Amino acid sequence: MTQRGKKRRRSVPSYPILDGHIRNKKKLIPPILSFSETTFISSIDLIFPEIVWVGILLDWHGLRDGIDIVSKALQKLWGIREKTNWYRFTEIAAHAADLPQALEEDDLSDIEIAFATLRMAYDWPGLDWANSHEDASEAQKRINTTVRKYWNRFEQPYLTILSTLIYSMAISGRMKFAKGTVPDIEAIVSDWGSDRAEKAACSVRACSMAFFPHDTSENAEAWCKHFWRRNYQMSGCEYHDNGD
Amino acid sequence: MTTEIEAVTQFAARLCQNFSENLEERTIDFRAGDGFETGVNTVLSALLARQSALAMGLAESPPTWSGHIAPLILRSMIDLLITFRWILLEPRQRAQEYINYGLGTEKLLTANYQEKIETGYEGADVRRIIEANLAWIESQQFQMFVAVNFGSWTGVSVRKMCDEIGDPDLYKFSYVPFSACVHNMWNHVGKWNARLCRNPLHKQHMVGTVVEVWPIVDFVFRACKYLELVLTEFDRYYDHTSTLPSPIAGFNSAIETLSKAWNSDPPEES
Repeated sequence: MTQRGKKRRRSVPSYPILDGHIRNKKKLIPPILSFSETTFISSIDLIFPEIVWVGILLDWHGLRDGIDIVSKALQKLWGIREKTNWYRFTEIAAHAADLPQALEEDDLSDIEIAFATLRMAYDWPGLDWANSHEDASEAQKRINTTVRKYWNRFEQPYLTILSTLIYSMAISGRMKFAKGTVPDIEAIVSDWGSDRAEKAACSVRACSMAFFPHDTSENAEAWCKHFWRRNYQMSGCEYHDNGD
Repeated sequence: MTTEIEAVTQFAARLCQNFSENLEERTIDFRAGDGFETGVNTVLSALLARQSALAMGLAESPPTWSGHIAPLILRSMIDLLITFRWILLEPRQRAQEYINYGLGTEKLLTANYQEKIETGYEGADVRRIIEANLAWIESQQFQMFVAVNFGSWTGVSVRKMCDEIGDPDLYKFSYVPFSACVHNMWNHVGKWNARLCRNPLHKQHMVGTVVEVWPIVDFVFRACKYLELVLTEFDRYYDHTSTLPSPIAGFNSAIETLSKAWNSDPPEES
Protein backbone atom coordinates (compact mmCIF):
# COMPACT_ATOMS: atom_id res chain seq x y z
CA MET A 1 0.00 0.00 0.00
CA THR A 2 1.33 3.43 -0.82
CA GLN A 3 1.90 5.99 1.90
CA ARG A 4 -1.03 8.00 0.57
CA GLY A 5 -3.36 5.00 0.73
CA LYS A 6 -2.56 4.27 4.35
CA LYS A 7 -4.93 5.49 7.01
CA ARG A 8 -3.18 8.08 9.11
CA ARG A 9 -2.60 6.89 12.63
CA ARG A 10 -2.56 9.09 15.70
CA SER A 11 0.87 9.41 17.19
CA VAL A 12 1.41 8.22 20.75
CA PRO A 13 0.81 11.19 23.07
CA SER A 14 4.00 12.32 24.75
CA TYR A 15 2.65 12.81 28.26
CA PRO A 16 5.05 11.68 31.04
CA ILE A 17 2.69 8.93 32.22
CA LEU A 18 2.70 7.40 28.73
CA ASP A 19 6.45 7.62 28.30
CA GLY A 20 7.85 4.68 26.36
CA HIS A 21 4.47 3.17 25.54
CA ILE A 22 4.19 1.36 22.25
CA ARG A 23 1.07 1.41 20.10
CA ASN A 24 -0.38 -1.97 19.19
CA LYS A 25 -3.50 -1.38 17.12
CA LYS A 26 -5.83 0.43 19.53
CA LYS A 27 -3.82 -0.24 22.67
CA LEU A 28 -0.94 1.63 24.25
CA ILE A 29 1.32 -0.98 25.80
CA PRO A 30 3.59 0.10 28.68
CA PRO A 31 7.27 -0.79 28.24
CA ILE A 32 7.25 -3.54 30.89
CA LEU A 33 4.41 -5.37 29.14
CA SER A 34 6.01 -5.21 25.73
CA PHE A 35 8.23 -8.18 26.62
CA SER A 36 6.35 -11.20 25.37
CA GLU A 37 7.44 -13.36 28.31
CA THR A 38 5.97 -11.11 30.98
CA THR A 39 3.66 -12.83 33.43
CA PHE A 40 2.33 -11.60 36.73
CA ILE A 41 2.50 -13.64 39.89
CA SER A 42 0.23 -12.58 42.70
CA SER A 43 2.18 -12.74 45.95
CA ILE A 44 -0.94 -12.80 48.04
CA ASP A 45 -2.74 -15.40 45.92
CA LEU A 46 0.06 -17.84 45.23
CA ILE A 47 2.98 -17.24 47.56
CA PHE A 48 1.59 -16.18 50.90
CA PRO A 49 -0.43 -19.39 51.57
CA GLU A 50 2.72 -21.42 50.94
CA ILE A 51 4.87 -19.57 53.45
CA VAL A 52 2.35 -18.64 56.11
CA TRP A 53 3.63 -21.54 58.23
CA VAL A 54 6.89 -19.66 58.74
CA GLY A 55 4.95 -16.71 60.13
CA ILE A 56 3.23 -18.93 62.67
CA LEU A 57 6.58 -20.28 63.84
CA LEU A 58 8.18 -16.83 64.05
CA ASP A 59 5.34 -15.73 66.29
CA TRP A 60 5.31 -18.91 68.38
CA HIS A 61 9.06 -19.11 69.06
CA GLY A 62 10.00 -15.46 68.75
CA LEU A 63 12.08 -14.04 65.95
CA ARG A 64 15.53 -15.28 66.88
CA ASP A 65 14.53 -18.85 67.77
CA GLY A 66 11.94 -18.95 64.99
CA ILE A 67 14.48 -18.12 62.29
CA ASP A 68 16.86 -20.66 63.77
CA ILE A 69 14.24 -23.45 63.89
CA VAL A 70 12.94 -22.83 60.36
CA SER A 71 16.37 -22.57 58.79
CA LYS A 72 17.71 -25.67 60.52
CA ALA A 73 14.63 -27.72 59.60
CA LEU A 74 14.87 -26.65 55.97
CA GLN A 75 18.58 -27.35 55.90
CA LYS A 76 17.96 -30.89 57.14
CA LEU A 77 15.11 -31.46 54.72
CA TRP A 78 17.27 -30.39 51.79
CA GLY A 79 19.83 -32.80 53.17
CA ILE A 80 17.58 -35.76 52.31
CA ARG A 81 16.12 -34.40 49.09
CA GLU A 82 17.80 -31.48 47.46
CA LYS A 83 15.36 -30.90 44.63
CA THR A 84 12.24 -30.53 46.74
CA ASN A 85 11.09 -26.98 47.49
CA TRP A 86 10.64 -27.63 51.18
CA TYR A 87 9.83 -24.05 52.02
CA ARG A 88 6.44 -24.56 50.38
CA PHE A 89 3.70 -25.72 52.70
CA THR A 90 2.35 -28.04 50.01
CA GLU A 91 5.69 -29.81 49.63
CA ILE A 92 5.96 -30.50 53.34
CA ALA A 93 2.36 -31.76 53.40
CA ALA A 94 2.93 -33.92 50.32
CA HIS A 95 6.12 -35.51 51.69
CA ALA A 96 5.06 -36.07 55.26
CA ALA A 97 6.42 -39.60 55.16
CA ASP A 98 9.94 -38.25 54.63
CA LEU A 99 9.90 -35.91 57.58
CA PRO A 100 10.92 -38.41 60.29
CA GLN A 101 13.86 -39.42 58.15
CA ALA A 102 15.21 -35.89 57.97
CA LEU A 103 14.09 -34.35 61.22
CA GLU A 104 14.64 -35.51 64.77
CA GLU A 105 11.77 -35.65 67.19
CA ASP A 106 12.67 -32.29 68.68
CA ASP A 107 12.82 -30.68 65.25
CA LEU A 108 9.39 -32.01 64.40
CA SER A 109 8.06 -30.88 67.71
CA ASP A 110 9.41 -27.35 67.05
CA ILE A 111 7.57 -26.97 63.77
CA GLU A 112 4.52 -28.98 64.76
CA ILE A 113 2.45 -26.05 66.01
CA ALA A 114 2.37 -24.40 62.60
CA PHE A 115 1.23 -27.50 60.77
CA ALA A 116 -1.22 -28.51 63.47
CA THR A 117 -2.77 -25.06 63.23
CA LEU A 118 -3.03 -25.31 59.47
CA ARG A 119 -4.42 -28.85 59.66
CA MET A 120 -7.14 -27.86 62.09
CA ALA A 121 -8.06 -24.61 60.38
CA TYR A 122 -8.00 -25.90 56.83
CA ASP A 123 -8.41 -29.66 57.11
CA TRP A 124 -5.58 -30.22 54.63
CA PRO A 125 -4.26 -33.77 54.10
CA GLY A 126 -0.72 -34.93 54.91
CA LEU A 127 -0.54 -33.27 58.29
CA ASP A 128 -1.61 -36.07 60.62
CA TRP A 129 1.80 -36.02 62.26
CA ALA A 130 1.18 -32.49 63.54
CA ASN A 131 -0.78 -32.30 66.76
CA SER A 132 -1.60 -29.65 69.29
CA HIS A 133 -3.59 -29.38 72.46
CA GLU A 134 -5.51 -26.51 70.88
CA ASP A 135 -8.89 -26.93 69.26
CA ALA A 136 -10.06 -25.77 65.84
CA SER A 137 -11.38 -22.43 67.06
CA GLU A 138 -8.02 -21.59 68.63
CA ALA A 139 -6.30 -22.61 65.43
CA GLN A 140 -8.55 -20.27 63.49
CA LYS A 141 -7.74 -17.46 65.91
CA ARG A 142 -4.05 -18.06 65.36
CA ILE A 143 -4.54 -18.01 61.59
CA ASN A 144 -6.52 -14.82 61.90
CA THR A 145 -3.72 -13.16 63.86
CA THR A 146 -1.00 -14.46 61.57
CA VAL A 147 -2.67 -13.44 58.32
CA ARG A 148 -3.39 -9.96 59.64
CA LYS A 149 0.21 -9.56 60.71
CA TYR A 150 1.99 -11.06 57.72
CA TRP A 151 -0.14 -10.54 54.60
CA ASN A 152 1.24 -7.22 53.36
CA ARG A 153 4.26 -7.83 51.15
CA PHE A 154 5.56 -4.32 51.70
CA GLU A 155 5.58 -4.54 55.47
CA GLN A 156 8.25 -5.82 57.81
CA PRO A 157 6.53 -9.06 58.96
CA TYR A 158 6.07 -10.46 55.44
CA LEU A 159 9.61 -9.50 54.55
CA THR A 160 10.83 -11.23 57.70
CA ILE A 161 9.30 -14.49 56.45
CA LEU A 162 10.96 -14.04 53.06
CA SER A 163 14.25 -13.15 54.73
CA THR A 164 14.06 -16.30 56.82
CA LEU A 165 13.56 -18.39 53.70
CA ILE A 166 16.35 -16.68 51.78
CA TYR A 167 18.66 -17.07 54.75
CA SER A 168 17.74 -20.77 54.93
CA MET A 169 18.44 -21.20 51.24
CA ALA A 170 21.75 -19.40 51.53
CA ILE A 171 23.08 -21.51 54.43
CA SER A 172 21.88 -24.67 52.67
CA GLY A 173 23.67 -23.73 49.47
CA ARG A 174 20.38 -23.50 47.60
CA MET A 175 20.85 -19.85 46.73
CA LYS A 176 24.12 -18.21 45.83
CA PHE A 177 24.94 -14.52 45.73
CA ALA A 178 27.60 -12.67 43.81
CA LYS A 179 29.89 -10.56 45.96
CA GLY A 180 28.09 -7.49 47.26
CA THR A 181 24.61 -8.68 46.33
CA VAL A 182 23.59 -10.38 49.58
CA PRO A 183 20.43 -8.68 50.85
CA ASP A 184 20.98 -6.84 54.12
CA ILE A 185 18.44 -9.00 55.98
CA GLU A 186 19.61 -7.67 59.32
CA ALA A 187 18.32 -4.21 58.36
CA ILE A 188 14.81 -5.57 57.78
CA VAL A 189 14.71 -7.00 61.28
CA SER A 190 16.54 -4.39 63.30
CA ASP A 191 16.47 -1.13 61.35
CA TRP A 192 13.02 -1.11 59.73
CA GLY A 193 12.14 2.24 58.21
CA SER A 194 15.71 3.11 57.31
CA ASP A 195 17.05 3.47 53.77
CA ARG A 196 19.12 0.33 54.12
CA ALA A 197 16.05 -1.62 55.22
CA GLU A 198 14.13 -0.26 52.24
CA LYS A 199 16.91 -1.37 49.92
CA ALA A 200 17.05 -4.78 51.59
CA ALA A 201 13.26 -5.16 51.30
CA CYS A 202 13.44 -4.54 47.54
CA SER A 203 16.24 -7.02 47.26
CA VAL A 204 14.41 -9.70 49.26
CA ARG A 205 11.20 -9.29 47.23
CA ALA A 206 13.21 -9.50 44.02
CA CYS A 207 14.99 -12.65 45.27
CA SER A 208 11.68 -14.29 46.11
CA MET A 209 10.36 -13.49 42.65
CA ALA A 210 13.40 -15.21 41.19
CA PHE A 211 12.37 -18.61 42.53
CA PHE A 212 8.70 -18.61 43.52
CA PRO A 213 7.04 -18.22 40.14
CA HIS A 214 8.93 -21.19 38.69
CA ASP A 215 8.94 -23.77 41.45
CA THR A 216 5.26 -24.46 41.88
CA SER A 217 4.33 -27.83 43.32
CA GLU A 218 1.54 -30.10 42.16
CA ASN A 219 -0.94 -29.05 44.82
CA ALA A 220 0.16 -25.47 45.16
CA GLU A 221 -2.75 -23.89 43.33
CA ALA A 222 -5.33 -26.15 44.96
CA TRP A 223 -3.93 -25.30 48.39
CA CYS A 224 -3.83 -21.58 47.71
CA LYS A 225 -7.43 -21.59 46.50
CA HIS A 226 -8.50 -23.67 49.47
CA PHE A 227 -6.64 -21.39 51.88
CA TRP A 228 -8.34 -18.23 50.67
CA ARG A 229 -11.75 -19.81 50.22
CA ARG A 230 -11.66 -21.03 53.81
CA ASN A 231 -10.49 -17.61 55.00
CA TYR A 232 -13.57 -16.05 53.44
CA GLN A 233 -15.69 -18.49 55.38
CA MET A 234 -13.83 -18.03 58.65
CA SER A 235 -14.64 -14.38 59.19
CA GLY A 236 -16.95 -11.64 58.01
CA CYS A 237 -16.21 -8.58 55.94
CA GLU A 238 -14.83 -5.50 57.66
CA TYR A 239 -15.38 -1.96 56.50
CA HIS A 240 -14.22 1.40 57.65
CA ASP A 241 -16.92 3.46 59.27
CA ASN A 242 -16.83 6.00 56.46
CA GLY A 243 -18.23 3.40 54.08
CA ASP A 244 -14.99 2.64 52.24
CA MET B 1 -39.35 29.90 57.66
CA THR B 2 -38.99 27.26 54.95
CA THR B 3 -37.96 23.68 55.46
CA GLU B 4 -34.89 22.30 53.72
CA ILE B 5 -37.10 20.38 51.32
CA GLU B 6 -39.09 23.51 50.49
CA ALA B 7 -35.86 25.44 49.95
CA VAL B 8 -34.55 22.83 47.50
CA THR B 9 -37.91 22.66 45.73
CA GLN B 10 -37.90 26.42 45.28
CA PHE B 11 -34.29 26.31 44.08
CA ALA B 12 -35.24 23.75 41.42
CA ALA B 13 -38.37 25.71 40.45
CA ARG B 14 -36.35 28.90 39.94
CA LEU B 15 -33.90 27.10 37.70
CA CYS B 16 -36.60 25.40 35.66
CA GLN B 17 -38.33 28.71 35.16
CA ASN B 18 -35.08 30.20 33.92
CA PHE B 19 -34.51 27.27 31.52
CA SER B 20 -38.08 27.44 30.30
CA GLU B 21 -37.98 31.21 29.67
CA ASN B 22 -34.66 30.95 27.83
CA LEU B 23 -36.06 28.22 25.61
CA GLU B 24 -39.33 29.99 24.93
CA GLU B 25 -37.60 33.24 24.03
CA ARG B 26 -35.66 31.42 21.31
CA THR B 27 -38.40 29.17 19.96
CA ILE B 28 -41.39 31.46 20.00
CA ASP B 29 -40.62 32.86 16.56
CA PHE B 30 -40.09 30.87 13.41
CA ARG B 31 -36.64 31.56 12.10
CA ALA B 32 -36.94 31.76 8.36
CA GLY B 33 -33.27 31.99 7.40
CA ASP B 34 -32.92 32.17 3.65
CA GLY B 35 -36.12 30.20 3.17
CA PHE B 36 -34.38 26.88 2.64
CA GLU B 37 -33.24 26.38 6.20
CA THR B 38 -36.23 24.48 7.50
CA GLY B 39 -34.13 21.47 8.45
CA VAL B 40 -31.53 23.57 10.22
CA ASN B 41 -34.10 25.57 12.15
CA THR B 42 -35.98 22.45 13.11
CA VAL B 43 -32.92 20.60 14.32
CA LEU B 44 -31.34 23.45 16.25
CA SER B 45 -34.61 24.38 17.87
CA ALA B 46 -35.42 20.78 18.82
CA LEU B 47 -31.92 20.14 20.15
CA LEU B 48 -32.11 23.27 22.27
CA ALA B 49 -35.44 22.05 23.66
CA ARG B 50 -33.93 18.63 24.35
CA GLN B 51 -31.02 20.22 26.23
CA SER B 52 -33.50 22.27 28.25
CA ALA B 53 -35.56 19.17 29.02
CA LEU B 54 -32.49 17.32 30.30
CA ALA B 55 -31.45 20.26 32.46
CA MET B 56 -34.96 20.59 33.86
CA GLY B 57 -35.19 16.88 34.55
CA LEU B 58 -31.96 16.98 36.53
CA ALA B 59 -32.73 20.22 38.35
CA GLU B 60 -36.11 19.12 39.62
CA SER B 61 -34.95 15.70 40.83
CA PRO B 62 -32.53 16.21 43.75
CA PRO B 63 -32.12 12.45 44.32
CA THR B 64 -30.41 12.30 40.92
CA TRP B 65 -27.73 14.82 41.97
CA SER B 66 -25.22 12.09 42.64
CA GLY B 67 -22.51 10.23 40.79
CA HIS B 68 -24.92 7.36 40.23
CA ILE B 69 -27.38 9.17 38.00
CA ALA B 70 -26.31 12.74 37.17
CA PRO B 71 -23.47 11.72 34.80
CA LEU B 72 -25.99 9.79 32.69
CA ILE B 73 -27.84 13.00 32.06
CA LEU B 74 -24.77 15.19 31.81
CA ARG B 75 -23.06 12.88 29.29
CA SER B 76 -26.16 13.13 27.14
CA MET B 77 -26.01 16.93 27.45
CA ILE B 78 -22.33 16.95 26.48
CA ASP B 79 -23.12 14.69 23.54
CA LEU B 80 -25.79 17.14 22.45
CA LEU B 81 -23.45 20.10 22.80
CA ILE B 82 -20.87 18.36 20.59
CA THR B 83 -23.53 17.46 18.02
CA PHE B 84 -24.90 21.00 18.05
CA ARG B 85 -21.51 22.60 17.48
CA TRP B 86 -20.55 20.04 14.84
CA ILE B 87 -23.76 20.60 12.88
CA LEU B 88 -23.08 24.33 12.91
CA LEU B 89 -19.85 23.76 10.98
CA GLU B 90 -22.00 22.82 7.95
CA PRO B 91 -25.53 23.47 9.14
CA ARG B 92 -27.60 22.75 6.07
CA GLN B 93 -25.99 19.45 5.12
CA ARG B 94 -25.43 18.13 8.63
CA ALA B 95 -28.84 19.04 10.00
CA GLN B 96 -30.38 17.07 7.15
CA GLU B 97 -28.05 14.12 7.73
CA TYR B 98 -29.00 14.19 11.39
CA ILE B 99 -32.68 13.98 10.48
CA ASN B 100 -32.12 11.32 7.83
CA TYR B 101 -30.17 9.15 10.24
CA GLY B 102 -32.96 9.32 12.80
CA LEU B 103 -35.57 8.46 10.18
CA GLY B 104 -33.45 5.55 8.96
CA THR B 105 -32.99 4.22 12.47
CA GLU B 106 -36.73 4.34 13.04
CA LYS B 107 -37.27 2.59 9.72
CA LEU B 108 -34.90 -0.21 10.74
CA LEU B 109 -36.68 -0.61 14.05
CA THR B 110 -39.99 -0.80 12.21
CA ALA B 111 -38.56 -3.42 9.85
CA ASN B 112 -37.43 -5.46 12.84
CA TYR B 113 -40.94 -5.30 14.27
CA GLN B 114 -42.35 -6.38 10.89
CA GLU B 115 -40.01 -9.34 10.82
CA LYS B 116 -41.23 -10.31 14.26
CA ILE B 117 -44.83 -10.30 13.02
CA GLU B 118 -43.91 -12.26 9.89
CA THR B 119 -42.19 -14.94 11.93
CA GLY B 120 -45.39 -15.62 13.81
CA TYR B 121 -45.39 -13.19 16.70
CA GLU B 122 -48.94 -12.23 17.50
CA GLY B 123 -49.35 -8.88 19.10
CA ALA B 124 -51.73 -6.02 18.48
CA ASP B 125 -49.35 -3.69 20.29
CA VAL B 126 -46.56 -4.40 17.84
CA ARG B 127 -48.84 -3.75 14.87
CA ARG B 128 -49.83 -0.43 16.40
CA ILE B 129 -46.16 0.47 16.98
CA ILE B 130 -45.40 -0.31 13.34
CA GLU B 131 -48.25 1.89 12.15
CA ALA B 132 -47.27 4.75 14.45
CA ASN B 133 -43.61 4.54 13.46
CA LEU B 134 -44.40 4.55 9.76
CA ALA B 135 -46.79 7.44 10.20
CA TRP B 136 -44.10 9.41 12.03
CA ILE B 137 -41.50 8.67 9.34
CA GLU B 138 -43.83 9.44 6.47
CA SER B 139 -44.99 12.67 8.04
CA GLN B 140 -41.50 13.82 7.09
CA GLN B 141 -40.49 11.64 4.16
CA PHE B 142 -41.88 8.66 2.28
CA GLN B 143 -40.21 5.68 3.83
CA MET B 144 -39.06 4.37 0.44
CA PHE B 145 -36.75 7.39 0.22
CA VAL B 146 -35.31 6.85 3.68
CA ALA B 147 -31.91 5.16 3.79
CA VAL B 148 -30.83 3.07 6.75
CA ASN B 149 -27.34 3.88 7.99
CA PHE B 150 -25.76 1.17 10.14
CA GLY B 151 -22.79 3.34 11.09
CA SER B 152 -22.76 6.56 13.08
CA TRP B 153 -24.64 9.45 11.52
CA THR B 154 -21.60 11.69 11.51
CA GLY B 155 -19.24 9.09 10.07
CA VAL B 156 -16.52 10.22 12.48
CA SER B 157 -15.70 9.47 16.09
CA VAL B 158 -16.78 11.80 18.88
CA ARG B 159 -13.13 12.55 19.53
CA LYS B 160 -12.72 13.65 15.95
CA MET B 161 -15.89 15.74 16.18
CA CYS B 162 -14.43 17.54 19.19
CA ASP B 163 -11.20 18.12 17.30
CA GLU B 164 -13.20 19.56 14.40
CA ILE B 165 -15.21 21.91 16.61
CA GLY B 166 -11.93 23.07 18.12
CA ASP B 167 -12.62 21.82 21.63
CA PRO B 168 -10.64 18.60 22.23
CA ASP B 169 -10.79 19.19 25.98
CA LEU B 170 -14.56 18.76 25.86
CA TYR B 171 -13.94 15.18 24.80
CA LYS B 172 -11.06 14.46 27.15
CA PHE B 173 -12.33 16.02 30.34
CA SER B 174 -16.13 15.98 30.02
CA TYR B 175 -17.33 13.39 27.53
CA VAL B 176 -14.93 10.59 28.51
CA PRO B 177 -15.27 10.82 32.32
CA PHE B 178 -19.05 10.82 32.18
CA SER B 179 -19.01 8.01 29.59
CA ALA B 180 -17.59 5.73 32.27
CA CYS B 181 -20.90 6.06 34.10
CA VAL B 182 -23.01 5.60 30.96
CA HIS B 183 -21.20 2.41 29.97
CA ASN B 184 -20.87 1.06 33.52
CA MET B 185 -17.10 0.94 33.23
CA TRP B 186 -14.93 -0.12 36.14
CA ASN B 187 -13.58 3.38 36.65
CA HIS B 188 -17.13 4.37 37.52
CA VAL B 189 -18.46 1.19 39.09
CA GLY B 190 -15.29 0.67 41.14
CA LYS B 191 -15.79 4.07 42.78
CA TRP B 192 -19.55 4.20 43.17
CA ASN B 193 -20.60 0.57 43.50
CA ALA B 194 -17.75 -1.25 45.19
CA ARG B 195 -16.68 -1.26 48.81
CA LEU B 196 -13.27 -2.48 49.93
CA CYS B 197 -13.31 -5.11 52.66
CA ARG B 198 -10.47 -4.44 55.13
CA ASN B 199 -10.27 -7.97 56.43
CA PRO B 200 -6.84 -9.33 55.36
CA LEU B 201 -8.25 -12.84 55.44
CA HIS B 202 -10.46 -11.79 52.56
CA LYS B 203 -7.55 -10.69 50.43
CA GLN B 204 -8.77 -7.16 49.74
CA HIS B 205 -11.89 -8.12 47.83
CA MET B 206 -14.62 -5.63 47.10
CA VAL B 207 -18.30 -6.00 47.66
CA GLY B 208 -21.02 -4.38 45.61
CA THR B 209 -22.76 -1.49 47.26
CA VAL B 210 -24.67 1.64 46.44
CA VAL B 211 -22.50 4.38 47.88
CA GLU B 212 -24.71 6.75 49.79
CA VAL B 213 -24.06 10.38 49.08
CA TRP B 214 -25.72 13.65 49.75
CA PRO B 215 -27.05 15.38 46.65
CA ILE B 216 -24.17 17.23 44.99
CA VAL B 217 -25.40 20.57 43.70
CA ASP B 218 -22.39 20.94 41.43
CA PHE B 219 -24.05 18.47 39.05
CA VAL B 220 -26.88 20.99 38.64
CA PHE B 221 -24.35 23.68 37.90
CA ARG B 222 -22.89 21.42 35.18
CA ALA B 223 -26.34 21.04 33.65
CA CYS B 224 -26.72 24.83 33.62
CA LYS B 225 -23.32 25.17 32.00
CA TYR B 226 -24.03 22.68 29.19
CA LEU B 227 -27.40 24.28 28.53
CA GLU B 228 -25.80 27.71 28.46
CA LEU B 229 -23.15 26.56 26.00
CA VAL B 230 -25.86 25.39 23.61
CA LEU B 231 -27.79 28.64 24.08
CA THR B 232 -24.60 30.55 23.27
CA GLU B 233 -24.13 28.59 20.05
CA PHE B 234 -27.76 29.09 19.16
CA ASP B 235 -27.54 32.85 19.75
CA ARG B 236 -24.31 33.11 17.80
CA TYR B 237 -25.80 31.30 14.83
CA TYR B 238 -29.00 33.35 14.79
CA ASP B 239 -27.35 36.55 15.98
CA HIS B 240 -29.80 36.63 18.83
CA THR B 241 -29.40 38.81 21.91
CA SER B 242 -31.24 37.73 25.00
CA THR B 243 -32.35 39.95 27.83
CA LEU B 244 -32.86 37.04 30.17
CA PRO B 245 -30.42 35.89 32.81
CA SER B 246 -28.40 32.96 31.47
CA PRO B 247 -28.76 29.54 33.14
CA ILE B 248 -25.47 30.05 35.01
CA ALA B 249 -26.58 33.50 36.20
CA GLY B 250 -29.88 31.92 37.19
CA PHE B 251 -28.03 29.20 39.07
CA ASN B 252 -25.85 31.70 40.93
CA SER B 253 -28.87 33.67 42.03
CA ALA B 254 -30.90 30.59 42.99
CA ILE B 255 -28.04 28.97 44.90
CA GLU B 256 -27.60 32.15 46.94
CA THR B 257 -31.26 32.07 47.91
CA LEU B 258 -31.03 28.36 48.67
CA SER B 259 -27.97 28.92 50.81
CA LYS B 260 -29.70 31.61 52.87
CA ALA B 261 -32.80 29.48 53.35
CA TRP B 262 -30.73 26.40 54.21
CA ASN B 263 -28.62 28.17 56.78
CA SER B 264 -31.34 30.24 58.39
CA ASP B 265 -32.03 29.41 62.03
CA PRO B 266 -35.30 27.66 62.77
CA PRO B 267 -37.79 29.83 64.70
CA GLU B 268 -37.65 29.35 68.44
CA GLU B 269 -40.53 27.42 69.85
CA SER B 270 -42.63 29.44 72.28
